[in-house]
Formats: sequence, C-alpha cells, structure tokens
Amino acid sequence: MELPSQRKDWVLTREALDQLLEQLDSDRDRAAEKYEQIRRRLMKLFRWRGCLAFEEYTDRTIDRVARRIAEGAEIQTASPYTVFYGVAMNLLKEHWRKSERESEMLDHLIQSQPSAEDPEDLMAQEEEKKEQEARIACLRHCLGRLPSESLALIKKYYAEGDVLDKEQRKQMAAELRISVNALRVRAYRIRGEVEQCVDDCLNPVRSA
Amino acid sequence: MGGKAYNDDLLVRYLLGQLSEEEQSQVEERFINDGEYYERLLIIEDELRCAYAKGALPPAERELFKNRFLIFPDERKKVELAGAMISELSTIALEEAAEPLRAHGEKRNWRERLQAIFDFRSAGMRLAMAAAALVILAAFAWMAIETSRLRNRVAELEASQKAREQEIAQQSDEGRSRLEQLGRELEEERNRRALLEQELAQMREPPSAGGDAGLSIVSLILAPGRIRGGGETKRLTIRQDLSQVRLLLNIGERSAYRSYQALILNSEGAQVWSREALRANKGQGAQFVALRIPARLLAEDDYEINLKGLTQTGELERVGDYYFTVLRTR
Repeated sequence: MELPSQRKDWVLTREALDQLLEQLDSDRDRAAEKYEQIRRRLMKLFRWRGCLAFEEYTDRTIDRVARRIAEGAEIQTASPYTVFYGVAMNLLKEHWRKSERESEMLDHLIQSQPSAEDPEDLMAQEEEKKEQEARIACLRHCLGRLPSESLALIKKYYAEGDVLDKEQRKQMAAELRISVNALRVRAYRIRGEVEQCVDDCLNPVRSA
Repeated sequence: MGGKAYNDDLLVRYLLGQLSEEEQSQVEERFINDGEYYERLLIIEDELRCAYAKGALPPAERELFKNRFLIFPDERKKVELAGAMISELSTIALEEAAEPLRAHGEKRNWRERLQAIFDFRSAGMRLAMAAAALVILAAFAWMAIETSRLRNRVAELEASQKAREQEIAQQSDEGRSRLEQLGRELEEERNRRALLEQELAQMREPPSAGGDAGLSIVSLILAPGRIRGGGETKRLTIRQDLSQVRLLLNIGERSAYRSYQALILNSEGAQVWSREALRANKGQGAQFVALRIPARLLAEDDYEINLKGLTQTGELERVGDYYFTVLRTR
C-alpha cells in the first residue's frame, strides 16, 4: 500500500513537466495548449461527478500521469486525453469507495447541527449583500456596453423565451437566418463576455 | 459547432446525473477527446443554469440541478448572476414594450393643445366650430376610453414586472438559504473558539497518544510536515467511546488568509473529510486552525491533511500538509 508520505515524496518537477509536455506534442506551444485543455476538461469532469475537491483531484491526475512518464512509460494511444481520463476515473473510484458511507454520515451530522447567530456570520452576510449590489451595478454597466444586436439577441433568447424550448429556438434562429446551433453558440458566447466583463469590473486590479 | 449531430437530451441527463455508469463513461470519454462535444456540454450546462435561475426547470430537474451544481460556491454565484442578468434583460424588454404606449400618450396631449388653439379663434370660427362640437365630444369620449385602455395595459405590464421581480427574489432567497446552511456548518467551530483558546493555553505538550479516558473529545496539535522541514508523524489513539477528534493545525505566527480549507485523505488517497471557510485562532505564540471531526470517520490508518488558504483576491494557496496516524483501542 502506498503511504501518504511515500506518495508525497514525488512532486511534479520541471523535468517531469517537460517530459509530459513532450508526450503531448512535440511543438511546445501546442503541448502547453493541450495541457490547458486537459486541465480544464478534467476539472469539469470532477465537478460534474460531484467531487468538491475537483482542483485537488485534477492536479493529482496530472501528477500521476507525469510520474508514470517520468518513470519511463509512454503514452501509446492516439489520443493522450484518454490516458488522463483513465487515471481520473481510478482516482474517482478510490474516492467513492472510501468516502461514500462517511459522507452520508457527515451530511447527517451537518444537518443536525444547531443554529446560532454569530456576529462574524452577520458581517459575512453584510459583505455578501454589498458584493451582490456591486455585482448588479457591474452587470448593468456590462449589458450597457454590449452591441445592440448582441443585447437584442440575449434579451430575446434568455428573457423573453424559454431557453430549453426547442421550438422557440428554431423560430428565433429562422428569424435571424442562422442555424439553431449557431444561435446557441452565439448566445452562450455573449453570456460568457458579460460574465467576464462583470468579473473584470468587480476585480479591476486582477484584470489590469 | 461544425454541424455535428448531438443528442442533447443525453447530455442534459448526463449533467443532471441521470445516466448509467456506462453511459456516463461514454459521454466523458467523448468530451475529454472532442473539443466541440465538450463545448456543447458547456452550452447545455449554461442553458440549464439560466433555466434554473429563471425558474423554468421542471421540479424534478430543478432538484437535481440544485443537488448537483449548487454544492459549489462559485456555481451558486454564477446562478445568481444569471438570474440577475435575466431580470435586467426582462426590465429592458418591458421598458421597450412600454415605449410605444408612452408615445401614444404624448400624441394625445398634442391633440389637446390643438383644441386649445381652436378655442381662442373668433366668434365666427367658434360658431363654425360649434357644428363640430359633437365630433369633438365624440373624440374626447374616444380618448378617455383609449387612455383608460392604455393605463390598464401599463398596469398589466407593471404587474408582470413585479411578478418577475418576486420570482427572482424567491430564487435569491433559495441561494441565501443554501449559504445559511453552509454558514451553520461553520458555527460549531466558531462557537467553540473561546474553549479552544483555553485549551491551547493548557496544552504545553501535545496530548499523550492515548485518548483521555472519560472525555468524548480527543485533541492533537499538528505541525506542518512539508514546508517546515518535515515534522514527525504524530499518533492519535482513539478509544471506542470517543465521539469527536479535534485537530489543531499550527500555521505559524501570522494568518495571512481570509479563511482556510482543509481536506483529510487516508493512506489510499481517498477523501475522508473536508471543510471550507475555516478561521485561524490565536494560541500561545502561534495561530491554529481547528478541525473537529467525528471520530467514527477515522479508521486505523495513516492520514494527511492538505490545508489551503483563501487569499484576499480569492485564490486558494497551499498552506501546508500535516500527517498523523490513527490507532484504535477499546
């Protein structure tokens, strides 16, 4: 059995990372891009599987693959992504096997905890309220900056219609003379721009 | 999206956790390898998020979404933002719908002004105008009816807007109640702060490996094992009658983080326990993050604790790793 201390002895070194990138693609830039893609998709995979420590598990998946490569293994499949998926699933299975029963017990424990007013909680709530107000102000600012066609599209798509209604999507796509797929992608990307704009507005230092 | 055909219903069911293990694996293997398929999943995820925020998901799917997505704090914020965006867009749509009605009202005033001009004409003109009196009266009557109709329409629109705002407020309440539930998870730790400080003062030496007989809680102070050059692995003996284990993680003299997140893993790397939004407490010459864990979760095994700190900018940084071994006695 691998003890935590033994496992922790191995850390992702620069050399191991280079070897991993080399296996992903011989072109350094493309390899870095693939690495980022894998990381993003693994994080989503763990989230969609309900793993709260999704970042931790993503790092551990990448570390495990990198360790295997550092120990001499080679990625044999046509798609390196599949190797990461296999390791991620093993980690998930280990996680479920041990923690399913315990998490149920913990849920029960959390639900049975008594409630009490705490000044720090109240302060946190107050902070959350202020943050919410700031978010709304930023949102108005960001919607105001959208080109009129983009604003009209998301207004119709999200506010006036039912986003899950296939018939409405078809009708709207026909009015705009684009395919339903193009409509959905366009609406999604405009929403992404708005979210990014709100994030930048709330964190001007980080976005600078 | 290249015109590829996707089974959206399957993807919705994947995201809501309604697929068999085999079907889930098929979806995952595909999105891991196929960027367009992955983007389609992101689009459907966002459509579900917006539908949830708008209250447009059927009850069963709403419940599934809540249990599957709203367990992540950043997801709750995304849903809130989606709800706020839809609310803003609805307001803009209502304002645009009301605009022609307002313009109509302005036209009526212009007609009134014209009539006023005619009233100041000569007596002859007034006589001539008298012939049209019936027509004017009819026009007034029509305008009164039209005004009333327009007012009703505006009132309807306002009522519809209010209903939408109430709906959004209700959704915000649900988000808040989830936050409150999470807040309650922290209460136990916080309520014990005073007690912890007293105990820290008494703990000049780490507690003995044996659990204190007669107590329902056993405590252990841990120093980080990696960043401080490898602290020893401490042993914690848990008696069968102990209900709680309290671990005090030494984080040094100063706490530079807003809060902390702790994750306990067993020797196989499986997560045993985790907790977010933990606070640092002052002890003798150092600060500690206190963890209170149900003793029954800790079987005889080697454990590690990954402690991360939440920075002022919202990033999670590794603070240190702590190791301990659990022994069980009767």
